[in-house]
Amino acid sequence: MVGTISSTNKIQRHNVGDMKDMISDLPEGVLLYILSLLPIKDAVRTSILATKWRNLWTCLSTFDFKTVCSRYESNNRYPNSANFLLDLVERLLHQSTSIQSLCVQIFGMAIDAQKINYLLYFASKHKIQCLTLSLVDRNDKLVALPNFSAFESLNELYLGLNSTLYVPTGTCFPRLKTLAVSNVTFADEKSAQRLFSVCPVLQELTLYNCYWKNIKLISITNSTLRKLTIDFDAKCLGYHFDDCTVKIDAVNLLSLKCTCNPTIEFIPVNLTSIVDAWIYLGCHNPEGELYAANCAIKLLSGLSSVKSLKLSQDTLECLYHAKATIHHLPSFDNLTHLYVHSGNSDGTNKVVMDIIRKTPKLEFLQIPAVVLNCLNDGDLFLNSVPWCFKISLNILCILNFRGDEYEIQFVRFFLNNATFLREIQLFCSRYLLADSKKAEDVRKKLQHDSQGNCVFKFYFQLL
Amino acid sequence: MAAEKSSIKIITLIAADGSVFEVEPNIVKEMKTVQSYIDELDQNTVSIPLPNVFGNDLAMIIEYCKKHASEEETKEAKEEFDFEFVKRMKSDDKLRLLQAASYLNMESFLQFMAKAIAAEIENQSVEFVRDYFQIESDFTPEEEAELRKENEWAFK
Repeated sequence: MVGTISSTNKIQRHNVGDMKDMISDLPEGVLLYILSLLPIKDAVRTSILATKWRNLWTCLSTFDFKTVCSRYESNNRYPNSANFLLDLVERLLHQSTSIQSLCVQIFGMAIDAQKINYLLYFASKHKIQCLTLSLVDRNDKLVALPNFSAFESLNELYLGLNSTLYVPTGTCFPRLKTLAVSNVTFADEKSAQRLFSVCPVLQELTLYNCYWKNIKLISITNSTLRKLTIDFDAKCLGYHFDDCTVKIDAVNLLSLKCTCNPTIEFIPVNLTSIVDAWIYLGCHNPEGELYAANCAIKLLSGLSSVKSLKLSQDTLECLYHAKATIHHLPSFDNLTHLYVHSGNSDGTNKVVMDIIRKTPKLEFLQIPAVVLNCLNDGDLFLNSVPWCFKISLNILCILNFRGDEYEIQFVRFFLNNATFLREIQLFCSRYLLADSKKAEDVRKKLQHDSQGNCVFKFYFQLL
Repeated sequence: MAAEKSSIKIITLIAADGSVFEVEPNIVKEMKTVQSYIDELDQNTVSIPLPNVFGNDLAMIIEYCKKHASEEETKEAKEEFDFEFVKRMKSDDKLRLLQAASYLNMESFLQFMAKAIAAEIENQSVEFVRDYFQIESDFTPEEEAELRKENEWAFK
């Protein structure tokens, strides 16, 4: 039985042979899809194709504006394109009801700060979920968030201003989950506190280069925050190295990543949920050594609940200068994974040992290298084997392994003293890799020593 | 009824110029317009006229669907096919196929053609795009000048 469908209302015939402007007959959704695949500049230009196209681009949901204003534009003949862009965005914000994601990136200095403030104000009236505002070049403008405005739908906010930021009372971000602030100078201390307390559901915060001008304290008090990343380079600091404080009061914080100058004083409060911490304190000036050491102790002391801790060489060096007070470190009762990155010296080895003595449940230890003669130093291991060696340590990972005799002795020490050690990971340096006979000898020797109780894994060290 | 439907062996598609294509049911799955007719009927064989699609275009669409419905073809082979498929088309073909895809309600083929078209008009002048789409402007020169000024950022 053959069923035939004749032309019904559903299948409408139109002139297939007529090539005249068949694009404009397509459903708006199809045209918008094509526009969404174009760079935004091309999409805006379709406004002059014909009346039907005039406002079509404003119905897109994602806008990614980027402009570079060159120095040639400073004369009158080519007034600066950044301001043209800001005008265009402002009109878009008046006209459109469909913006979900708006990104405005401006390279170049000659912007009108008032236009930025308008942009933020009108954006607050929209159902925008993701807003990125990035002024790439350093400028002396004051950018103010709109006061008494709630960004009702905003989920993600990225502010890279290179300007001074003022946060007035009444600005709020009731749905904001992710906030990143980069290259910002806070206008005053209130601004540096308010921004983080007006986000009642914030989960992720990234601070990248906030400048210590106008303020002494950045205060992050937020009970929903889960992930905090702080990355400040040395030029962020003010004139006095001991004048910069970051208070972190975040009871639900799970992950903390700190990369900054060690003379920034951290005041950790209530960090009882913390799981992962990366503490990479950079180099410091000799005059602030002791101050920096005490800052590092204070920061680590607030992280006593942590399960996994990653420390840079600089952080350890910093702690080394606090020899006298390092015993003030609390016991890290939950710590199971300790990673020490890069570099090694006698001094920092002692610090690592001091920390290991405070970690009764350590299961995994990664050290950057074995120091020559470290076993000859009575203090280090021989007097008292750390508690975790006897009850919990099961994986040892050594970077930069060269296969020299003192290193083998070091591994042997672990084999003899760490009762539950079941795996040793050796990241071999290229010297060892280049010498395949030596590598084979080392492997045989270690396997013999372990008497089958421990698995050895050899890796290439990727440098 | 479900059993009857699954017993459909061959679908006959009749293009605007009368050319006839016999295809297996899995080939038309992506064509939602066609599929909705098949779903409404409970016959073993169906014949469907598609008065808005030319035979040449329908042949290409079926070729595309066959390739993409095949489970034996690797992802790389399909990508290679897509690349060659677009390469042998003129811009008129792309526009006609986009229209056919819209009419047949074929989501992924529509996206595929839209991407091919977007790649051609990307970074091109308004004049080029007008010409490409064969759009006749209904703006007066004054209106157009006004719009250019309003959206000046995009025209620099």
